[in-house]
Amino acid sequence: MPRISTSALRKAYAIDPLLPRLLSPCRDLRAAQNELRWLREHVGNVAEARRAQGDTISQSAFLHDLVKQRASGKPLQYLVGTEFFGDLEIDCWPGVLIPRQDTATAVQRLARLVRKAHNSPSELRVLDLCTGTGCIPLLFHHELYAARADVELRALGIDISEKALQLADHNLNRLRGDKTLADKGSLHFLQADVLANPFVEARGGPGHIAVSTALRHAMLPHIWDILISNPPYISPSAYWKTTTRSVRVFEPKLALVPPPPTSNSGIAQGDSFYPPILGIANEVEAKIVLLEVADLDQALRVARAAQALHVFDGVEIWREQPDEPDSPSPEAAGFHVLGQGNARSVVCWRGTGAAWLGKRERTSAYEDVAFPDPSCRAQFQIGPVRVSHQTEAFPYWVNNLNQEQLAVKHNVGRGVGTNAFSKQNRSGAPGRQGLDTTVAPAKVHPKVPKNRGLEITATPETERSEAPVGRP
Amino acid sequence: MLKTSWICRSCLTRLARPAFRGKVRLQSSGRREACSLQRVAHNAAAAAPATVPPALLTRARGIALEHKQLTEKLADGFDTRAAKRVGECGPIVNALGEWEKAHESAAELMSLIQDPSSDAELRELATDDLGATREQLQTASQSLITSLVPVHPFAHLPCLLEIRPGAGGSEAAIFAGDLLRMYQGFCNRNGFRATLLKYENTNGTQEAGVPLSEAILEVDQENAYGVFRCEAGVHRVQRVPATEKSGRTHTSAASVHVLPSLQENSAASEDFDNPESDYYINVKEVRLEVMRAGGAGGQHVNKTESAVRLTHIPTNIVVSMQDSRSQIKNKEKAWALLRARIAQVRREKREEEMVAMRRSVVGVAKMGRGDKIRTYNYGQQRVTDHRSGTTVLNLDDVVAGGQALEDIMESVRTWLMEQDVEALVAEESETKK
Ligand SMILES: C[S@@+](CC[C@H](N)C(=O)[O-])C[C@H]1O[C@@H](n2cnc3c(N)ncnc32)[C@H](O)[C@@H]1O
Repeated sequence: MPRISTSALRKAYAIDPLLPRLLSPCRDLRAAQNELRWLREHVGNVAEARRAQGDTISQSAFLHDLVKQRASGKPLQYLVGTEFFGDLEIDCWPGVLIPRQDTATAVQRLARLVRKAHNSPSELRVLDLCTGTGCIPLLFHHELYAARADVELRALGIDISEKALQLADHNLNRLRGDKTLADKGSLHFLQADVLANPFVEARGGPGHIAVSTALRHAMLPHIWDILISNPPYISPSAYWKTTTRSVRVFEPKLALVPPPPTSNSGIAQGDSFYPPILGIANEVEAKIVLLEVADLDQALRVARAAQALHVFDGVEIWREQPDEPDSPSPEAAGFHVLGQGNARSVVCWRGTGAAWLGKRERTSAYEDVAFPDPSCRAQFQIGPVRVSHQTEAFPYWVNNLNQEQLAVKHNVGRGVGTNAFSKQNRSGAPGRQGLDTTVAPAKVHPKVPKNRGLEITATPETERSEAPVGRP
Repeated sequence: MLKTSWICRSCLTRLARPAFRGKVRLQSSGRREACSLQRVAHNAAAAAPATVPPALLTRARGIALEHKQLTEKLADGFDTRAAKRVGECGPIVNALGEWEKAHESAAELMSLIQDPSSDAELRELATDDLGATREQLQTASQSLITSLVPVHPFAHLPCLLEIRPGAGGSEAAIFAGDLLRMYQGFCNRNGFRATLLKYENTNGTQEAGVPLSEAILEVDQENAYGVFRCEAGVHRVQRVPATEKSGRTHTSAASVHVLPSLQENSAASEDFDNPESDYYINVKEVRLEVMRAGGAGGQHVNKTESAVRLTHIPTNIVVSMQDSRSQIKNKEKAWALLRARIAQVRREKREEEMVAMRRSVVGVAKMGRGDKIRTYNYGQQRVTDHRSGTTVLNLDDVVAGGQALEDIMESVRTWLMEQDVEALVAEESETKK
């Protein structure tokens, strides 16, 4: 970190004797002045609350102490106890990652697209893996009910950390309590390990059971419409090079850096979470998947891996400001990259998910594809990545289908009511609603293995099932 | 003919139409004081006889006719446009009716008095009556005139006061802070809810005496725009700055902009989507920039900056906001401000066209930016408004936002009304030609 010049310090001191200390954690004088004002406001609020309880505090001593802690790099959000996430003010505790603006931007965008959809299901299920403060499901809930009353939202946040879960519950209760959140839908938090393999005995402790197992134990649905995750995604080297000191010293490493891979999988450590998360997305039959990533390189690795699963009709990349006009992305290898700033999320959709995102629904390409890789793992291989197919928002095979091929329809969907809680075959099950997917007839791409199952449960570690596709 | 009587018009206008509904107390004692002060300043040309200028009478009669026709039309079937217009004309038609009644009885009395054949006793009685009847006629004349003056289309809205230092270095910045506190005091005293939307001085606090670089005060009160509209312009201060050792008097200035404020949820918010409205902004023409931490972003940093900057590309109007920790709140505030500024620019352009049209007939001083409107002279403890010509000798009460400020503002509103009437007469005689 560059040293601060004496003249800058002197200038800051002339304005307020407390300011110079804030210059080092803040980027500039302006930011330092803002932070000082926020700290003052916080002290004022605390003092007032104490007064209401018949207690008094020394405001100046309190302020001095806060400034000192801030000067040592402690995040402002831990000092004042909250961070804004979209419209919501989320409580923050040391030991749980502070929510980031970029995450809020992407979640808000997604929720606003989905709430505009005309064909949304009457019950919409949103699963958030690695939920931390619970900010993502809370914001999704807030955004959805700000515009819709006719949808029953069922949102679930999953995290491995006990403390994060406590905080998420606390945030839920607080926001429900002060009526910031509409008294609608259901919001829950659950402990599970996203990295645990459901077919391997838990490594011990309730924190290490796999997501599918935890869902089953909690009698929660195994089918979810939307899967969102902001998992730890920083590689150990980027952790030392790229993160700021305040992040390293004060925020939990568990939330930032994935554990080293157990087997010799060849997957970069920063990427560890994505193959299992894509596997879960596949398992829960998510129609939309939103995954936060570190940068364009990681975004491309994740996007390719998602594409290689051959369950999604489209994959695109959102930058930090996805609503701004697209900045050119020559290195995007055929993926549509929206907006401006660093690449921040990978978005995948299939079936009705396309319409929920405001895209024209395309045919299901599940069965009509070549599988160049037995699993998505190869896409995470370190080293030069093979870019196989260049299309815009849709995989190449979709573009190979002609109109006649698009004509045959069948229903794919999830059960409703109590059915939703029992595992069932996706294809043609009775009582499905609204999920109308068109599938091409048997004329297929030459290389394609026929009758690829829709009931794909493959995580990178497991074999794909080869169940025949049900046709009407 | 009637003998024309000359009166203080401001008193009459006030009787005829309070400048605004709302909580500002209309203290009669205060007003009288203001009137006596004005007497000094009023020149004969500014004050007009209490008769209705023939041009306005013609206009009123034209409107009455239209009103009658529309009412007949409405009897046949409902038409929202016509109904609205009938509603608008109603007060004018009533005022005209009152005026005609008063005018008729005054004329009758006069002819009685002047008729040499009339009975002497009767003539005496008529003479006794004449005073009261004339008074009625004056009142009716004023009501008629004021009913014809269009109410400012934004008068009913809450408003934003933007205060910035002008020429005069840090003394100007200190004075800008004084003005801010003056308006805060005024709001406080009148029970208006005022929120500081933006406050920037060089040290990020709100201490008095610290030079102010920009403040935006939102007055969340119905009719606030009507109340504060007259405050827009350059305010000049003459005093010995606290920092001046030699004791010389300096002249510096601060500017005040007054914008009607339309909040997202206010009644007029449908205007946002109406391309005809001043508040309409094509979202595509606005560039949004949010402060990014630079570098990798995402999980790598836990930044606290939430600054937002909006640029309206066609007009190159830029607003930025960073006061709140919430980016959303900064964004909302920035949008509200951008809307208000753009609407103001559009309105000014329209008004300029109007003024240009009227100027050919009567010189109407344009009010608003640029013009020096008021002087605060600390040495003489006086405040003079250059538009109404009013001077008060109670500077302390003015800068505290007290009754004396209210008196001055009232005098300007009256002046504005006079301008409007003159413009109206000019317009009417223009169209007749
Ligand atoms: C980057 S944080 C994201 C928190 C929150 N979703 C947000 O956006 O602010 C990652 C979260 O993943 C959790 N986590 C880490 N390893 C996990 C695992 N194996 N299974 C589930 N959650 C895990 C951490 O506790 C942390 O809360």
